[in-house]
Amino acid sequence: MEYENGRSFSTVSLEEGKVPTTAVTTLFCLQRAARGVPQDLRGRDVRMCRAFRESLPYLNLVSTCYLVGSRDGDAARFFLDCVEEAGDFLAQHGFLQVSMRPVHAFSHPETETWMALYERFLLCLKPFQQEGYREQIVARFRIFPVLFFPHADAVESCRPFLRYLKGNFFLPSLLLPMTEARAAAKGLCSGSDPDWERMYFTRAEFLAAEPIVETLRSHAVCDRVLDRSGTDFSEERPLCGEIRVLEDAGLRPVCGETGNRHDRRSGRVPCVPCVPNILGEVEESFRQDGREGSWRQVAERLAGVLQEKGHKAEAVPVWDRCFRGRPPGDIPLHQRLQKALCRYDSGDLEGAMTDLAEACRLHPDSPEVRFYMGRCEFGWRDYIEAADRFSEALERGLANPMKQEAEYLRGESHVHLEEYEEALRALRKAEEEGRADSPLYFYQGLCLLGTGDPSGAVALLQKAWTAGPSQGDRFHVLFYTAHALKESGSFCEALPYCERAEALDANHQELFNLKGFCHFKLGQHEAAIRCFRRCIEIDPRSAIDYANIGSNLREMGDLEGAAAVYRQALAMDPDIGFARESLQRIEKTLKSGSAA
Amino acid sequence: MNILLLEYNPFQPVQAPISLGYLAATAKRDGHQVEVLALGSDSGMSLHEFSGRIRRFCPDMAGFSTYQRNIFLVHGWAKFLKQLHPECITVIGGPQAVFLPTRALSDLPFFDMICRAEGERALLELLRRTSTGRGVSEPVSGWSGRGRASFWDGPALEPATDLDDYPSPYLDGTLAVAGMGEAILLASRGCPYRCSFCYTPAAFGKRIRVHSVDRVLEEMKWIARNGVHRFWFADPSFTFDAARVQGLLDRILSLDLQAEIWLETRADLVDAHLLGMMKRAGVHTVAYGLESASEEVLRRIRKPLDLRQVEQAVRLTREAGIHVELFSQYGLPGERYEDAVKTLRFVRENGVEVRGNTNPQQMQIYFGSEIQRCPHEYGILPFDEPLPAYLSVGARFETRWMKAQEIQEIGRLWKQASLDGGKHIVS
Repeated sequence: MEYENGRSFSTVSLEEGKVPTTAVTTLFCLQRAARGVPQDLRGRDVRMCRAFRESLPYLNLVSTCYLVGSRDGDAARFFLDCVEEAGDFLAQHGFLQVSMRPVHAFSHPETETWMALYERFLLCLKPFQQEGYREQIVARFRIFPVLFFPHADAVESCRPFLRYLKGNFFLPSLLLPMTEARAAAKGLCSGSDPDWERMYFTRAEFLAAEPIVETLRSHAVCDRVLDRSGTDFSEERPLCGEIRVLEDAGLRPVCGETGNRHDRRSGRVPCVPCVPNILGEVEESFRQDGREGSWRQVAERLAGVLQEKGHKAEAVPVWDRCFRGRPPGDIPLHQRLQKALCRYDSGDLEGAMTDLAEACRLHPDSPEVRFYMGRCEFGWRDYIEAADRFSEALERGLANPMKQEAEYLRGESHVHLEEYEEALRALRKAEEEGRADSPLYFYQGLCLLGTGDPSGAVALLQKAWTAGPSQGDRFHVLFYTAHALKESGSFCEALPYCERAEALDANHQELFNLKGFCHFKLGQHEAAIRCFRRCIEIDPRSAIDYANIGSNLREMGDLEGAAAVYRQALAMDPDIGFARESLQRIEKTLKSGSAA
Repeated sequence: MNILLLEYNPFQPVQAPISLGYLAATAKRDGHQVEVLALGSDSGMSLHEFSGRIRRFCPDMAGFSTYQRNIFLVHGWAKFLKQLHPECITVIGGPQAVFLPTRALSDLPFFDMICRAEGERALLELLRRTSTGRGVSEPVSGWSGRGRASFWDGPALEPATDLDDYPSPYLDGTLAVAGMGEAILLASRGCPYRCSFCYTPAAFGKRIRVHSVDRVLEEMKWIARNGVHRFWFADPSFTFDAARVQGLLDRILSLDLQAEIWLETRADLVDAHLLGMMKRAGVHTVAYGLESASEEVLRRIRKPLDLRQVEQAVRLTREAGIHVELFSQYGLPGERYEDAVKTLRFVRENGVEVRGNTNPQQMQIYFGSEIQRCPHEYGILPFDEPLPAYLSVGARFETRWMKAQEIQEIGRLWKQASLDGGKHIVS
C-alpha cells in the first residue's frame, strides 16, 4: 500500500527512526491518511500509538504533543489511545508535564461523537486535576484541542461545542485555511472572553498533515521565542531543534528549509531561511488574535538574533517586516538603527543611508543617527561630510562608547583631508574619552608629522607600535616611523625601521625611496642606488628614482654615469628641477675637464 | 562519594543555582565528586537523558532544592531516581523544607531525610556519617529522617560564624560563569527584622552574617574576568551595614568592573550619598520591600516602616538614576480591599512601573513563618480542606478582612495595571 509520500508503511519503531539527542519540547504525532483501499487502519493506529509510547521518554520535562488526525480512519480512537498512554506515563513520573493538542476536523453533525471522546478525556485528566488542586500547582496533564474548520462560517454553528470544551477546561483553538482569514476577521468575533485560545491559519484547504505541521511548528517556535529569555539558534541548536515529528518512519526533526528535512550536510545554519517562513506563517494568526504586539516581539527578537549571529543581510527583510504597516512615528529609533546597521555591516551603504535619512527626518536631534550617517560617509570616503556628521553627533550629546569612536573617526577624517590641527584636536578628545589603541596613536603621529613636529611624531608612532597594531597596520606604523625619523634627520635610526617594514612588504616603492634617501644622506651611495633601482623595478616609470640614482653616482664621482641617468630621468619628466641643475653642472664640469 | 544536587524550577528560566553551588563547593573541598543539575522552564532534559546521567554518575546521595511549589514534582524526581539507583540516599533542603514537619516524610516515601540546618554544615555532617559506614536510620545532627520504627530529629547544628569558611562556588569552578547572563551572589545571610510573613527570622535568627569584602570582590573580579558583568545580590537587606557597604562600593569603583548590579534592601537603609555611590558602582536597580501602603497592615505584619520613608527612598533612588522595584503582597493580615487598592495606587503615584518584581502576589504562607505557626491570630482563615503534611496553607486562605473573591479581584487589578502581563521576573 502506498501513502501520501510514496513510502510504504512498515512497523513504526524508534530503533528504525532517529533517536533525538535533545529533549523534545514539541512532538507531532501523525495519523496519516491512507491512499487506495483502506486496510488495517486500526493496526496502523495501534503501531503508531506504540511508537508514541516509546517516544515519551524523549520528551522534555515540559512538553506539548500534537496528535494530528487523518481524514480517514478513526481519529477519535487514535487520540484516546495516545491520551491514555500519556496519562499512564505521567502517572508514573510525577515531575513531567504534558499538554496534548489533538488536531481534528469538526462539524456540527459529529458533535455527539466528539463529546463522547472528550468525556473520556475528562476521565483521563481528572486524577491530574485533583492532584494539581491538592498540590497547589497547575495540572500536569492538560488537553487543548485544535479544531479544523474548512470555512469560517462553520464555526458559529459549533459554538455550543466550543463552549462545552472551554467549560471543561479544554480551551480549544481554531484552525482555518488561510483563504478564510478575511471571512474569519469579519465573521468571528472573539470578544473579551473568547471561546477559543487562538486562531491558526494554514495553507491547507483540508486536514492535511504537512502544511498543518508547518503552521503549528511555526507557532511553537514563536512561543519559544516569546517565553524564553535567550534565543539561540546555532547549528547545534536550531530554532526547531526540539521539535519532532513521529510518523511511520519514526521520529524525525522538522525544518522548513528543505521541505521538512533537516539537512546538516549543507553546512548552513538551518534557521536563517526558516525565519521569514515562520514569520509569514504566523502573522495572520497573531493579527486575528489581537496579538500583533507579540508577533512584532517575535520578529524583533529573531531579527536581533540573526544580526547577532552575523546574518546581517538576512536580518534586513525581517526588520522590514517589523516595520510594515506601522505609522513611522511608532517605529522605535533603536530598531531603525539596527536595520541601518545591518545594511551597513553587509556593505549596503546606500541602503543604510536611506534608512538613516528617514530616521534623521523623524529624529533630527538624535546623536546616534548622525553618528551612523557619519560612518556611512566615512565608508564612502567622503571625509568632509563624515567629519560634519560626527561633529553634529557630538554636538547633540553622543554618549560613550560611540562618543569616543566619533571623535576618533572625525580625527581620522581630518587626517585624510590633511587638516592636521583639527585632526589632532579630535584625536586627543578621543583619547580623553578613553580610547587608547594603536590606530589612535598612529594618526596622532601622522598629525604631528603633518604639522612639522617629526620628533613628536616618532614618539607617538612608537607608541602605536607598542600598542599592538593589527597585521594590516604594522607596515604603515613602521614606515611612517622611519619617515618621521628621516624628517628629523635621524637617518641612521630610520634604516632599521625600513628593514622591518621591508620584511612585511617587499614591494612598496615609497619604502625603498625612503630607504634610498637615508642611505644617500649617510653617504652609503651603493646601498642607495640599490634601493632606487628597486623602486624602478617596482615602477619603471618613476623618473624621480632615475634622478636619485644620478645623484648618488655624482657623489661617487661617476659623472658620466650620473649624466646619463639624469638625461634618462629628464626625458621621462622634464620638470625634475634638481636633475636639470645637476646635469647642467656635470656637463659644465665635463666640458671644462675635457678642455683641460 | 558521588553527590547529585538538583534544582528544578519549571516556572521560570533557569538561574545560577547559588545555594546548591555553595553545597557543591563544600562537598568538593571535602573530597567528594559533585554534579549540580539546575533545570528551569527553558531547560532541555528528557527521562532518557536523565537516566543516562544517573547510570554514568551513580550518585550515592541526591539533594534536592525544595519549596512549596515544587515539592511534589521533586518527590517525583526522587521516586524516579530511586527506581534507577535504589541505593541512593535522597535528601531535601531549602528555605521551606527546613521547616517541614518531620511527619511529612510519611507522605513523601521517596525522601529519606530533611535538612534542618544550614546546608553546608549539615551536608558535611551527613557525609561524615555515611563515610563511617553507619547508616542514616539513627539521628544525624542537622537532619530529620527515618528510623527503623519511626522518624527521628537529630540535634541542632550551628551554622558557621564566619561565612568565609564556606568555599566560593565561583572561585572553585563549581558554577561555570561562561554563558551566565547574570551571576547571583550572596554577600550576607540573614535579616535582623521579624516580618511575620517571612521564614528568614526563624531560619537565621535575628542576625546577619557576612562574607568579607575581600571575598565578595574576589568573586566579582573572577566573574567579570570571565565575561559576566551583571550581578544580582540576593541579600535580603543589602545595605544593613552602611559602613561595610560603602567600603564594598568603594572597592568596586576602584576595580572598574563595569558592573551592572541589582540588589534589594529596606527603604529605611538608604540615603542620597549611599545611592550616589551605588549608581557610580553600577547599581541599576534597587528593590525595596513595601508589602503594603497601609500602616495598619505594616504594623500587623511587624514591618514598622514609615511610608514617607519609602516615598523618599523611591524619590532619591530615581534621582540617583537608579531604577526602582517595590515588592508588595496582598491578602495580608488587617488588609481590607481598599487597603490593597491603596497599595497599587501608592506604587503608581510614586512613579514605579508595575512590571517585573513590582508585580505582586498574594501573600504565601509557608512553613517557618510566624503566620504559618498561628494563622488565626493574624486573622488568616485557611480553607477548610485537607492538606498533605508537606504543604502549608500557601495561598489557600481568605482573611477576616477579605474574602477569596476579593483577593482574586485584587490580583486581577494588578494584572491589568501590569506592563508585562504580570510576569514575575526575579531580578
